[in-house]
Amino acid sequence: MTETARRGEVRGWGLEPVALADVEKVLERQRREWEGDHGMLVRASVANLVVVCPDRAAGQQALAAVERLGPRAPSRCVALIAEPPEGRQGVRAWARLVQQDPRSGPGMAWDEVVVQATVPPRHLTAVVLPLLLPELPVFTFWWGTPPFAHEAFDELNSVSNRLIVDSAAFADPPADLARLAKAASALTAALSDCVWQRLTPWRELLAAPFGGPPLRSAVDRVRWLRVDAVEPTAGLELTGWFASRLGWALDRAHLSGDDWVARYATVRGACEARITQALGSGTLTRVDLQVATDDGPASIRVEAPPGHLVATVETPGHPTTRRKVGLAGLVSDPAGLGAELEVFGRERIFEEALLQAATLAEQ
Amino acid sequence: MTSGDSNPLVVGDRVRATPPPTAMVVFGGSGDLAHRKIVPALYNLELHRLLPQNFAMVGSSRTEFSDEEYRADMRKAVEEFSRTQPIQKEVWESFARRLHYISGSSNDPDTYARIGDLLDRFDRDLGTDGNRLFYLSLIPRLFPDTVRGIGKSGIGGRAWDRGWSRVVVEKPFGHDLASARELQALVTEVFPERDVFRIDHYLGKESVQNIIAFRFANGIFEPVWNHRYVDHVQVTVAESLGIEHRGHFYETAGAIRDIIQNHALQVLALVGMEPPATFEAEDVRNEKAKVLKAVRRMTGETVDRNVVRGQYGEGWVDGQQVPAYRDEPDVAPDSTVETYVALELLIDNWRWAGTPFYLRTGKRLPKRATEVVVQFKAAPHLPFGEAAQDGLEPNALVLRIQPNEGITMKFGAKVPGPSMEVRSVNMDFSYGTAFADDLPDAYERLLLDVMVGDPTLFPRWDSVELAWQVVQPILDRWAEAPPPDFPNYAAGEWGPKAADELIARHQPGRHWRRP
Repeated sequence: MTETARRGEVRGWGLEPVALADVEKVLERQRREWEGDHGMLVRASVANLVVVCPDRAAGQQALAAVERLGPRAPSRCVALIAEPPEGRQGVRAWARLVQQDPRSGPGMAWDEVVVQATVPPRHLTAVVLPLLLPELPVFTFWWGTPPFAHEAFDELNSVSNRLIVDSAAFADPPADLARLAKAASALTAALSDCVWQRLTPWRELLAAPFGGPPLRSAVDRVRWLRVDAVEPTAGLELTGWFASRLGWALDRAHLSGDDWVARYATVRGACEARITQALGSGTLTRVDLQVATDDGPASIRVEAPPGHLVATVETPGHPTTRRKVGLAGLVSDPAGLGAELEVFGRERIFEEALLQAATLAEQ
Repeated sequence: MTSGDSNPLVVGDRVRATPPPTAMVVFGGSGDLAHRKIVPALYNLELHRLLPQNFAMVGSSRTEFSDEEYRADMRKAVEEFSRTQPIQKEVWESFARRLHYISGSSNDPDTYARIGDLLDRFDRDLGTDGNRLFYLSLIPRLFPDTVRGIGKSGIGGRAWDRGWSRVVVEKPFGHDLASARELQALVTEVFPERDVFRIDHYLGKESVQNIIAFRFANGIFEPVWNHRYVDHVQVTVAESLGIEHRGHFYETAGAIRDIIQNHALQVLALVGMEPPATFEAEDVRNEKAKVLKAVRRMTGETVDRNVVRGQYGEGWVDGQQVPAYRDEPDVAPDSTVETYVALELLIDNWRWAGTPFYLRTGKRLPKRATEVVVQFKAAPHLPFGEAAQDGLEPNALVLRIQPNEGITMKFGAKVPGPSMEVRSVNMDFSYGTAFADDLPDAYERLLLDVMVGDPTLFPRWDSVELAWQVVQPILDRWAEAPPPDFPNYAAGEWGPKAADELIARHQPGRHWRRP
């Protein structure tokens, strides 16, 4: 076996074909071989991460994404390529130990197992269960759109503590988001969406001005919201967040071209909302809020030039404040998956926002 | 109260509540601490979106700077000392616009008048809402004028009613018990105790806070965390550095004032305290104060028996030849200031009766390491035969505070093979292997806490006074009896031999753990 230099800070072994029953044995042997050549390794695991992929290409992409998370959330990663059980049924597996480059920190290793399973969906759990590290929480990340109405979805979720999706990668993002919201009500596992994590800095900057004068007392007088969304579900979830947190009720909504246009009844009036399809590489490109104050309309704008965010607050009678802040967190974890592995319980705020987002998406 | 308490957009969510609007004044704004810690911490808070939207800072000291010159100087500081590198140009430029500077003397009323005008402008133009944070990043002799200046000018203190006004006092809080009491009287003449935040940056370290989490989030350790099972406790604060051009300061401080009176005794309090009912500030601070109150005070002769002092001579550290303390710049050639202290303390309460706590700190030791060792008693009976248990030591739990933050548990295990031989092995937990290693600097956490008004991690006056009461008899005794044998350890060694004798005198097997 040869050690292969891998991109970035992670180096590792090539995946080694292995019988499913021998996975632990092979990983242990790889660890001993490494220690024989390089010295003591700490085998670290904070969770089990099961990545469910529809095909081999997606499996490769998933491993590349997960590999970056190793130093942050070293986990037993099981990439499950769940192929339709047509033709010859069976299970093939590969395993490898991955080491953090010693220059990046303490000698630390975690492991990855790839399983290609062509078995009836009801047996997928039986394939995965023996590969999980005991007692550690199980995060199941569905690559692409989860098969909501499928047996495999229920089976795998039944052994998971947390179900993670990336709604930006859904085949039909708005419609699938609505399906996710429906499925969520029946889930016992906690649910989260990487898009929600990617929205965190936006939400922080949009919330902050309401923490001090003069907007503190105007939080229930938002009159206009415009979201320029590269990822449509991000626009829906952000709008859903405002609606759920501020007690807005959807009055009417329609699609105008690619834009969602909605009117909400709020505690103290009404708010018009528009989600516009934007071009770009991030999650959102811009969010505008207009807020009624006793002295006239105020505005909050957050934009995303490359590498940072800019928040501008204009309030009548006060100088305009313009603040640039970093994207810390999203730089090392651009997809937001790493942050999702640090959340354990149900997130009521997200679930309520999702319901509101789904209501809008269904219009 | 945080701004988030009333903001429905930040309640119970990943969205972190930012502090309320704040205007901050750093007295000593051009000094070393502002360069190394305060401004880099503020920049990193901004980078991580944790500063309030309405925030401004004014640095003040005697050095002449325009705002622009000050910003340029601070930019260099952030480029050198920020934990995140490289600095983000756009974020820095936006942040720097909120940095201002006023030069002036601490005994000149005009300095405070100009600061007051600027703070009023912040309130008006930047919405800082009358909330004022005064940071005394000063040498102690400038404290009195500065605190009085704030009070007399009316820019903050008890009479301030347009928002909150808080003062942050850097250590050392006093030079001895009497001067600490004088300083307390002075500070509380201007600020009520609830608005006084005494910084001990050790308490802002994640790994120090983890002592509380480790003890009170786990059910299995607390039952054995007492005199019945613990043989002794060691707190080590070891530095490989020397005094680093701080000869003037160190000649008036020494290791006992610099480390033992604050950092080491605060760590002892966290290790020794009873479980607080809640993690509310006053509950935690009450329990810490009770431990310090229970530390047995020494008198003249017991100081001689229970405390070892040392001073380093020339030697080798990190592969470099280094001079003796007495040959360092700004140090008297016959200096009797200690660069090393080891002491045995007893805590006279139900939990710790008869269990010694050994504290040690020193400069120019072989490596930098801060750790707590909880050394458990040996098993009451070992059935394996003497030869078979040769390599077996009693259990020990090591809480590593820095570097390589983590926890080590030492326990006995069978050596593989046909015979029943046992020996000690270490089970290591390293923070870096379980959590993101992007840990905030202690000053970031502590500055945020001041802005939100959470004093949990700041020593309350009674704790500071109690710590001085522990240390004062030692200072008094040493003043009477200068050390006869300085220098008594070579740079690069683990302190004087007498420290080894101190820990072993009641029980020959006891020894300092080598970090």
